[in-house]
Amino acid sequence: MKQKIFISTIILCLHLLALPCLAEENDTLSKVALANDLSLKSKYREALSIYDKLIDSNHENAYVYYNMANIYYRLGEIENSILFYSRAKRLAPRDQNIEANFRYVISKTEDKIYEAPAPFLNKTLVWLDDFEFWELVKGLILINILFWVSMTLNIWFKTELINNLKKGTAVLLIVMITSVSAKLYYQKSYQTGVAMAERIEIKSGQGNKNITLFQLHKGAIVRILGEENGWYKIQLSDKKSGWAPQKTISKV
Amino acid sequence: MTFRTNHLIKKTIRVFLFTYFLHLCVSSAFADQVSILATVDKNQGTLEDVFNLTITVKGVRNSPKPILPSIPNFSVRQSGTQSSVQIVNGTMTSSTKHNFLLTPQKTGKFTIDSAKLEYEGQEYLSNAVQVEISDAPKQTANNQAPVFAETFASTTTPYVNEQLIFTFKLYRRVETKNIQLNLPFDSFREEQLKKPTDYSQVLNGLQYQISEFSTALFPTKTGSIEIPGAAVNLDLVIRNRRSQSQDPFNLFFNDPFFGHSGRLQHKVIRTKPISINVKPLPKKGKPSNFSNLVGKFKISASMGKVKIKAGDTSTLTIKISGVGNIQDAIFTLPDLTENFKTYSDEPKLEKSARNQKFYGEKTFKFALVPLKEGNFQIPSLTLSYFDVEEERYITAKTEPILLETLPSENDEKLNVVDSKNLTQGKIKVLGTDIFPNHTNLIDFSNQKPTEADKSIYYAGGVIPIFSYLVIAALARQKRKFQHNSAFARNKKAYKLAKTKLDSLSSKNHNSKTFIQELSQILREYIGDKLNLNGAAFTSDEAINKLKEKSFPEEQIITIQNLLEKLEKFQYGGIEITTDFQSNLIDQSLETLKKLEKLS
Repeated sequence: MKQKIFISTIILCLHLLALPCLAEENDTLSKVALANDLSLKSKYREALSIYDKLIDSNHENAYVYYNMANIYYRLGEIENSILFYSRAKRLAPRDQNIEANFRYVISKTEDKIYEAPAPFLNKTLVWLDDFEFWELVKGLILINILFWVSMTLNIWFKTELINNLKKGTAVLLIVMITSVSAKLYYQKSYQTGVAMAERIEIKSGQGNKNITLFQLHKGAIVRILGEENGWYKIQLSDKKSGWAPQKTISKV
Repeated sequence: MTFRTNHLIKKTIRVFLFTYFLHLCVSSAFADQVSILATVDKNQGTLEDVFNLTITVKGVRNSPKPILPSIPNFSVRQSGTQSSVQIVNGTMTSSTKHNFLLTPQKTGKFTIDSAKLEYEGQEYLSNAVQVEISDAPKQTANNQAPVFAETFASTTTPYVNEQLIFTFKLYRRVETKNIQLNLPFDSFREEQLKKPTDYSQVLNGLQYQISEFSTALFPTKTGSIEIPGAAVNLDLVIRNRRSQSQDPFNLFFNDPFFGHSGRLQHKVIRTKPISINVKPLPKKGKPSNFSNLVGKFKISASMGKVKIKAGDTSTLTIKISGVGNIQDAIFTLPDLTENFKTYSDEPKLEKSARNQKFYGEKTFKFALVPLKEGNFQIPSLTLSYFDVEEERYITAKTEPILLETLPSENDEKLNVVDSKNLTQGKIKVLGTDIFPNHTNLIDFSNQKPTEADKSIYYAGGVIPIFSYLVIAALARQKRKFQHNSAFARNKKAYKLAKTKLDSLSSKNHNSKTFIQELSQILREYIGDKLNLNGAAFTSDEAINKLKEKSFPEEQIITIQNLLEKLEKFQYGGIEITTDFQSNLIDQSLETLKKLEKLS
């Protein structure tokens, strides 16, 4: 009897703890519904304002970014549209609609640059781009639990099935640890950006007096190699690189 | 002290004095004045000769490398050092020769300035050396040169972007090693025709080994330009005189297998530069779509499917092939947007050599999607180039292609671009709109993990490992209990003894039974702890066993006193009170606890 009361108390406490979260979630969803409705009625600026507030309140969601990108496209702000599609792609890398709209809008730009230079490890760990970081973390935890469960079972049951399960999960665990580490490393060190100015002259060094190496136009996607004195060192997918003023490039 | 011992001591002193004297001589000899001298093996030579510059440093053992002056008209290469010690009239002189190979780059009289040596804080300068370089005599098979090179250009009056074939030939009739060829083509674009070939040829009765290679050059600017002379660096293998002997043994042992390959002499072989007068292309008759193609080319067009449904795709392939600067070929599809959507692919270029000329084929592919049903014509496609043989512009054409388009079975499925088939920067979009907003509210929850989520992830990473470690440890202990009785008895001893003591204290016993049972419990505990069989051993035996197991003396004395006290009560027939019984049980428990902590 005592046990039942104890368990019921814990469940009740958990419910009470979860209530504020649920209330917050409901509030967010009602705001999203309102923004979607405003967007449908072509009240784009009002919709954007709601989405902006959501993002400011630390709410991160691929479809919020996607809808914002769509709205920016409708408003003719292609560079902002590409910036928000890129952010949406980072959070939902396998979504076909985001990919299609992103490429469609890129095709409207002058430079038509579809991607920044790919990180080196992406050629080996080809699946890295298809998964968001926290998805990989969840996968790692699942495999981790499976591995240690198979290790525990192997204490009592020395069967071939359990042994194979142990070996298989060990290999998967190594792959997942490598993937999560690589993704984390690239999240910290690999930064991409979108050209926001109508035309940017890419210089050979920091400062306008340097030679102009080439020009970029709004919506061009670049890799940001570093930043110094108000300038970004950028690189294109064909390995061309140079310096651009920070105010002309927005980080994804 | 014997005569033999005396003799040995005298001999040792003599050897010591001699060594000391010699050391003094050597020290004074090496304290000589330091000098530095520069010499060349010859003062006159040609552009094909290599000069050996020797910097000799005297009076310094293991001298540091001297610093050479700037020698702009020569390329300099170090070729080793030699150290030697000489004794002349009792004076010992140490010298080090630093050798350098100087390869002249220009003709004229040159002064090689002083080399500098920095030694023990002082600077020493060598003498300057003068050398005179003249043009190399033309080496050909006629004057029986052992090694010479020739270069040829297929034409010296090409048009800009016209292909000319540059051929290099190296003739050798002696053994050579370490061949390095330097061919600078600054004012040309180069396309290598094929790998160098080696063959033999007899010239003026002498058999030469010839290495030949050809490359296609495309002049990139008009006017008078020069193909600079080629420079070949190589080492000639100079056979020892002994090897010239006809002695069969010499012939046999001169085989390179036995290492008698002779010494190496460095040589630079130069060819004359070739002057080229590059003509501009005529302005007269230049077609509007001319894209700098110079040579002889043809164009062909083919259609993958000539009967398709509206909305389906057919591939139009354009091939431009021929001899000349095919890399520059570009092709623009005429405006077909009224009837087709078009997608271009990356052009592909295949290069090869045909009849000692650079030949290429460039393929352009376009995917055409008819927008409506009907019969359409892909018009004649044209390519303009300058024909160098006929010296006029020519426009090549393809035949028009007819395409029959049937009605589509379905309406257009997707009104946006197919992301997989896009090529960067060259694809026109299918439709005019994007996919609409996402409206499924379930998908709008926050993707950023909360602190609680992160804690769960950490727990998911750590808890399985700890759980496994705990379970594995418990399983191991269980196995040990099952398979090791000594271990099991040891671990259970205290618990068992305590249970028995509790049971003893809860019952009323007479003094004798109480003492007997208490003694039995204590001995059984010791037996369990030490894995002794049964409890039929005396207190002395138990104490001895505890000592063997290195229990602390203090604890052993405590339990010994307790056991002896019990024996005294047991055999002395002394009656004890209930309080004293409780006191004995407490004492026993205390002692067992201390022993348990130590085990």
